[in-house]
Amino acid sequence: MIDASVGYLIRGVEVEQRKARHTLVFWLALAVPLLTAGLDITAYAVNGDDILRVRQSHTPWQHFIFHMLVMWTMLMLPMYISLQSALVTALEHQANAWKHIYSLPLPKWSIYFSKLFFFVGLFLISTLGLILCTELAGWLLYWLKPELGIDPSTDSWFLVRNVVKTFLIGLGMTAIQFYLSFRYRNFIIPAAFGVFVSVIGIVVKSWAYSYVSPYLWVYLAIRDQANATNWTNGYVWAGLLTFAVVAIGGFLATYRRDID
Amino acid sequence: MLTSIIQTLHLSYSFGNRSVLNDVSLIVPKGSIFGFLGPNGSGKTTTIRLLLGLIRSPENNISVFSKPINDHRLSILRRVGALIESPSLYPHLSGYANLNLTRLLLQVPSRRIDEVLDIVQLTADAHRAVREYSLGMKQRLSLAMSLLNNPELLILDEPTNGLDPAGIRDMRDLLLRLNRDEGKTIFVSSHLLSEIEKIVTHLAIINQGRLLFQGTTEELQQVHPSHVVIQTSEPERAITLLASAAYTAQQTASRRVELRVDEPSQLARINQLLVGQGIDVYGLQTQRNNLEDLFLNLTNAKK
Repeated sequence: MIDASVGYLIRGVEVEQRKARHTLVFWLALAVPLLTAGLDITAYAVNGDDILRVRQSHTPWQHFIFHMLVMWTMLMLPMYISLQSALVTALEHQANAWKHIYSLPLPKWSIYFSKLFFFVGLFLISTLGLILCTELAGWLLYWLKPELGIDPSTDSWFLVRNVVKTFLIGLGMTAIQFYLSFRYRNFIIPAAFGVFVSVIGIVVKSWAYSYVSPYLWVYLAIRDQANATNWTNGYVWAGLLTFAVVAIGGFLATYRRDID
Repeated sequence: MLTSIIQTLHLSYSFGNRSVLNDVSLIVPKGSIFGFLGPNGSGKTTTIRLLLGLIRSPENNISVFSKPINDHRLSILRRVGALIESPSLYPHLSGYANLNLTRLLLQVPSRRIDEVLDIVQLTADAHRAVREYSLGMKQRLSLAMSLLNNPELLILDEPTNGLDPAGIRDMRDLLLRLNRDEGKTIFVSSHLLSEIEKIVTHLAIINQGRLLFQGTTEELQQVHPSHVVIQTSEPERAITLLASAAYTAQQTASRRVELRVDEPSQLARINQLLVGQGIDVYGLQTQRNNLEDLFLNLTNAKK
């Protein structure tokens, strides 16, 4: 029983991966972390001295990462998840493929979760890409602008720990965005909702109750707890719980829907 | 007694307050090519979606392979291939890659792709992107997709939609071959009688969600007589002669006479009658009434 279920999921994710070839989906997953690290390295190459002047307890390398993570969590990640969620299901919506997929002998849960896990896989690729690009950017600055004092060998876990945490926390908004894109044929709805909530988040991020938005948790975790050396925190658990609840709830909400 | 592959029992369905199907009881015999005829919006696609479990019937009144679809969706779908309205294809992938996606999900060997491509005669174009395919090729590729699991039952919703006459003929030939050579039961919907009457063995006609007729093509003939057009040099004499043989004919043009016959076999008798009396017959052909006339006939026949 479990073997069969795992089989459905593995095949489903494989099919999603093949389906997405030659589309923007993979490019976007790689381009966004590259762009984030690229913007950060440009900022430091052009104006590194001024940026580092405001650092407090961080080393230059940690400050470089922190600067990148603020950009990632406040802007890039929510926008990326919003757009990517719209793209991964747009393939089915545009090809009128749902009716074909649901008329195949596949359990309905496997259709929903295969696509969700593929989306999570893309997010994981971007997360790993961000770690790699940031590390490379750090070494590049180490060689090109040694006067900035950025030395990636000083704390290798600061980057990995914080990026992994943003991944785990970001799973919450990933599940929300996925449900919207799965549910609505019009790709504008998930994309616009995600972008709108993200922009509102930027505006209200200093508000005492801003933590109610799952789209802000990644930013708040970095802003308030980037120096913490533990691998989990309240935001991580909240992100994982939101993922579990919304993923299962989203599937149940779509389970009995008529297929167009 | 023929085994039925599909059976619906007093099937009714509504979208909110709008009734779409009303008391539809279908019986699709095994080995048949079952035509499901009705105008656009008559409830054909809704019926097909219900048969495939894409829409759930509130009652357990749909059986496929003698099992209720609500309770045995997976085991039924393993034996069914479906093509619902427009093709569901990813245009950026090749025909082969599209088939391969469904093949992976169905867990059938990859050689089956070559077999179904051969059946629909798309082998030569298999590696071209689907966006370069004509509509007819897309329909054939979709049909190939529905054949991947070698299903016993094919459910095809308007497979000739948008095809040119050559494409329609190809599709008809293909369905006939699948039925005759591979023994597949085929449930095919259409809004054009002329498109499917040449191949179907059984027929159901639906209008405004109600079943107007169900039976064999011979049975349809009894409630839906053919219309005969005769091109002749002497229409007045022809009408008199036909009247003596109990046919009611009328002149519709200077050299044209029209009448109704119950069976196409009567055409030979009519021809012999006219030619035997020295009347030149230039043309003799049957014409089906259009769908509206057919519905009128069927509605009147029901009364």
